Amino acid sequence: MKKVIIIDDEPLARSIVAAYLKDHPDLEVVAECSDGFEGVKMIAAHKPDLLFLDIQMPKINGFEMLELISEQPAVIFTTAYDAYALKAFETNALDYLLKPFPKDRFNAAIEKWRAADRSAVAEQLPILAEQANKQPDERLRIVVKDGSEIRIIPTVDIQYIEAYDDYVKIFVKSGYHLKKKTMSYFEKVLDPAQFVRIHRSYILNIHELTKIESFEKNAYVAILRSEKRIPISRTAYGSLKEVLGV
Amino acid sequence: MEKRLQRQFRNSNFLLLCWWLLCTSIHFIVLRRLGYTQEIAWFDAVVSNSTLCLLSFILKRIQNFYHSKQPITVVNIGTIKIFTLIYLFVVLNIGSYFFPQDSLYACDSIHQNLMRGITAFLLLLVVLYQLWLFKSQQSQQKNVNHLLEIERQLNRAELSNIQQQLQPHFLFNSLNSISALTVTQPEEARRMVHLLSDFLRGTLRKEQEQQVNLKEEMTHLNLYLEIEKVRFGHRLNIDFHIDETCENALMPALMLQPIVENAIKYGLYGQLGALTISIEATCDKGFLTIRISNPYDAQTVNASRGIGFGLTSIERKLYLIYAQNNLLKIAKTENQFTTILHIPQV
Repeated sequence: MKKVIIIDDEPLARSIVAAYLKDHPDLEVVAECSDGFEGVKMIAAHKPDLLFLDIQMPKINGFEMLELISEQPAVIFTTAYDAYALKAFETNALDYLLKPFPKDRFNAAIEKWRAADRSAVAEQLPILAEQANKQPDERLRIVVKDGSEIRIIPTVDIQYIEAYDDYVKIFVKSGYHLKKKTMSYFEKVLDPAQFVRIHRSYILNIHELTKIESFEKNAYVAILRSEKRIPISRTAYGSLKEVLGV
Repeated sequence: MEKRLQRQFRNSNFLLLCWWLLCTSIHFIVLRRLGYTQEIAWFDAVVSNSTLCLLSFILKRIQNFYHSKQPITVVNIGTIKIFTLIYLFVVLNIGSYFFPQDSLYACDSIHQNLMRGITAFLLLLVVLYQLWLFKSQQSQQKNVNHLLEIERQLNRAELSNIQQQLQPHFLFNSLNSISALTVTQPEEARRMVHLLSDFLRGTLRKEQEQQVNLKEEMTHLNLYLEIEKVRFGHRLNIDFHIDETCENALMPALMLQPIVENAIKYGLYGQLGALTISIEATCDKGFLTIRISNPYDAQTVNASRGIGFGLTSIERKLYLIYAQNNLLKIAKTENQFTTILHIPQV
């Protein structure tokens, strides 16, 4: 038996997926969730093989939820209409269902999943989520998981981001949050007019910057409002100056 | 069209020059007939008509700043009277300076100066009337253009209104709900199809009419809410507080549904669990006031959408209809977002 979880905020939308799944006796619905928070919990508890996931949901959307789970199951998106997401899907061969979808289309998606090379699917997913994150709305916030708690951080609250092995530390006023993402991901996703990669290990919110000091020949350090000092690499100094308009 | 009129107004300079030539010639001929020397006839014709010409220019300037509704007003006639006196003063002074002995410039020949004054007054009057005519044509054109612009903007607002009503997200999710219901509750599916049809029909029909009464608008809104209730089930609750005396109050058609849709969107996507939206209508002091409030989570919403709340098109529509700016207000508390509509009852 393969395990399936359905995540959608509309009960009827979940019910039709469940109804269609009755034709596939080898698939068992282990949980139905009405939002991403519940989704994260249930995925951790059941470790499903397949996920039916809506995109627009309360608090955090489907893409943001995917970022919070460590072991990505295969995902079939179910969405009513989303030009951005569609664009993302078009560039990736992952399957998606446009609501309302007929049973044949649903079955075809299942067959595609059965036939798919599972590792390839898992690899494609982050790319997909990243693309969807580039839509202007999503750039305004970042979702992190602290232990079992999920937090939504408005990007304006971010002071700077520091590389930390496979993770990054996202510094805000009250401390920092860890997220398993690369620096180049944040460099791509965050607004380049506000966030500048000033060093291999640092991305700075320029609104936090109070002063740039030089401490050696050709070596600079950024001083933040919190009086924290962050090194600026030689190559980044030019682009920082450009963003600051000096 | 407007450009052509501007050109015409500029052409009026040319017209003034023609006037000047004509008047100067007539002036000269008249003086010669009256027996004045050629020298003094020339001098007087040029000086007095140039003065008039200069005064006409000033009149034109004044017309640019002050344009009366009627050509003949106290102000306009007063201005011309003053100008006539200035004219007399200037011409008599210059004349008696160059030709101190000549009878033409004798201050005591009242009959002669009166004639001169009346002629100048009539000439200035003709000039003023011409200028007024140009100017009023121009401003009329401007009014027409302004009206056209308003109409164009209204059309655009209406179009975006239709697009807003037929939000693909709403439409496709509703269809998906119907699709799900056909499997489990065919009766409910049929009801939903009828609700959706009525709602869409209402949306298309009401685009034709500008104003509807509150009762009609609420009927349309209820269709929408019924559909949303099917979609979201027990998560969505609506609290109505409608003052019955307001039922006949008029308002622009299809204005409430987008606001309520916003409230649902930010209410439902901003929080987990159930949501209560309250809709309140009162009428007082010539205004119909409608308040729509929803709980929201400042963090999620502000971080995902900024301000705006998709209400700008409503604000715009209100402005276009009522030419007033403060008819849509927003009140935010820590966790409650309220949209307040003030609809003038004319």
